[in-house]
Amino acid sequence: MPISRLPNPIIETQEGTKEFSYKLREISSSLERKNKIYMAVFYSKLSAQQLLEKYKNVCPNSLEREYIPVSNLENEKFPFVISKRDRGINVLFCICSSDFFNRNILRWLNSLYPYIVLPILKQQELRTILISIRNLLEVEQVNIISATSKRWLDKKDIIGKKYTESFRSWTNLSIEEAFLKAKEENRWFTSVSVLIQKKGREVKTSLSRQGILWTNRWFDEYLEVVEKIITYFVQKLNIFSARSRQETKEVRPLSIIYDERIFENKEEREQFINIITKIPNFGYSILHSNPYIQISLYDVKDGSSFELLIQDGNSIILFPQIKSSISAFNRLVGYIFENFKEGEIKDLE
Amino acid sequence: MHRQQIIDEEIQKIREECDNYKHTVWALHAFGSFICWDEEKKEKIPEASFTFGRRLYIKDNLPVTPDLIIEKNPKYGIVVEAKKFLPANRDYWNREVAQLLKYDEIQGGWLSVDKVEVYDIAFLIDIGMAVKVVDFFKENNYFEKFIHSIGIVGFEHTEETRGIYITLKKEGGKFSDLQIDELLRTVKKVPLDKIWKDSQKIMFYDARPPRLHVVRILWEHVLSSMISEETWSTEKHHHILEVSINEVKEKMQEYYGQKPQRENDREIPPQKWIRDALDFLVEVRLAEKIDEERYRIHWKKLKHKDTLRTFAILELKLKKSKKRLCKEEDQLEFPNFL
Repeated sequence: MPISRLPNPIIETQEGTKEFSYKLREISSSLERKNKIYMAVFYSKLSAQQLLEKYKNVCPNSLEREYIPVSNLENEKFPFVISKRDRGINVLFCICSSDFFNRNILRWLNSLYPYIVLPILKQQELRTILISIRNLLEVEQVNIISATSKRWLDKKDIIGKKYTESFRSWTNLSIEEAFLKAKEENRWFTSVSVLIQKKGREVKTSLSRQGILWTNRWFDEYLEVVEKIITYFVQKLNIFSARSRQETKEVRPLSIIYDERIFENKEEREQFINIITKIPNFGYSILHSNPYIQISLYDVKDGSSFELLIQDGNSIILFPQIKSSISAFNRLVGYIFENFKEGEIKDLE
Repeated sequence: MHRQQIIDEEIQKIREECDNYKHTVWALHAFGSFICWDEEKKEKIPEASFTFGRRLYIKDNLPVTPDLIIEKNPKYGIVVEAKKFLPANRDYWNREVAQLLKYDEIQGGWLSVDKVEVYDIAFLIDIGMAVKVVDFFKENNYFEKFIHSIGIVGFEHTEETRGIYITLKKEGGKFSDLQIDELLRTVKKVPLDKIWKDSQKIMFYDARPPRLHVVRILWEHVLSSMISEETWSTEKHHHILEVSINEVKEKMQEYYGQKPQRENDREIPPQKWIRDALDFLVEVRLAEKIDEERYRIHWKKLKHKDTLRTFAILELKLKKSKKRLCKEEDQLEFPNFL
């Protein structure tokens, strides 16, 4: 089905109005079992229509080929809505099956890098947002029922240069307990699903590190949760912005600081080099590897480039070059957080 | 020796050459920062400044270009020449001394004034060679031949738990500024933190770098910054950039070298280094020469993600194009899109 003939594919709307929320509530009450309400925050300077056009260029015919009509919603004319906020922040609302979301919408969002940037939520931020869901909905117990996590492999389990493994687990712990346990086991969550008991009904909600939130029943309070995701996202975007040397005419590096000395020995440094050089769609040159690390990195998709320097045991310095876009910064730091270790991002001026 | 070992060693050699060049630039930055630093007040001396590759003049208005000019104040300056290593052949050493002797005759062209009241000469050399150079100066009575004070300063980068330091130590000769002379008598450590901003802004000095050092910076930082939607070729599936030497040179100078600001400033990197780097891209079929001034660059994701390694292998392949060097080399074909 050509994009132009998709049933009202995009509605650009202003900040979540009462009517909008009402509509979501109305639809959610008659939601088919397989369908969920998805919310994805992203950053883009382009309009929704421009993004669709771009997608046509990046993956011609893809939406047409893979569009799966969501039976009820075709009549409702509500496949997805993009709510535009200030300074390039957008919120996408979509009511569909997880299959449709992952195969179409999420793929669409990811394929449009660098035009679209998705957030990276740190573990602490994931935890805070989940607790805020519990507080906003005024329920006593919200338990984590399933999660996907990553963990460092033990030395004996390392095969080749794969240092981490992802796995899915099922549990019934409170948010606090689950995060504490994960920390003890040296794991970190990539997505978390919770079960909420509200007004005699069981509501499932999930949140991923990319800030994608879904639920099988709408509550107006979710709009506030989305605002929290936006706040964390904007904080990081502000740190990443105005770093390109062609823009600032200055060198404005930032550092990722760790609370422990994690680059102390050769093994740890080698491990970091192996991880960072695997970042997809980045080229690199290892300028120095031991004992200090200096690597030049460039984003093949966007043309941004950086110099990465590790000269002490507990921080990574990223020097922006002629072009170092917000998108590329977000991708590079997000990759380090996801695949190596989360740290605190600080301005180095 | 196994073919793979040969190629790895060659690549390591290229990597070390680039590294040595970078460390020499760092040493120049560190020395300039050290001289311009007020130890008591713990701040930069407001009137002090240093610049790379400025042309000064000697008698008959003939130009000389030391690697670094430092003007501590209008009364005192230092001209600096730096070398990471000197070849074993002593003829080169004598040539170096002859060059330094030219700096002994400087008549003007300084930064804030045409002529500082007093100036010294500094020769920066890797700390491992510095004592040998001092001995060479002594054996040949070269110190006596200089009218101005000359100090031989050894440098090296040291890596400690707290970070990287550029270590400076005077191994012979003297500086007429007694405070500087005294401070450099013992090891002086300049933390890289002090110079990181400058070392990002200036990656070249007046000496010619290894060709791949220029090619790498050109590919990773300069040409990459020029790609856009408009340069994307849907037919070739990579970016096609039409650039002029001048345009590339301007960018390299603005962000990684020095654009002439004043009358006697030199261009760093000069056009010939850029031309050489672009010609390399033509040789390895990542670019086409349109005419003498313009090139068409095929900017793309390289087959091997490690850029320096890819270029090093391509350079080796260029050198030994008729030999089958090793499996890896055979696998790395020249991009076939022209």
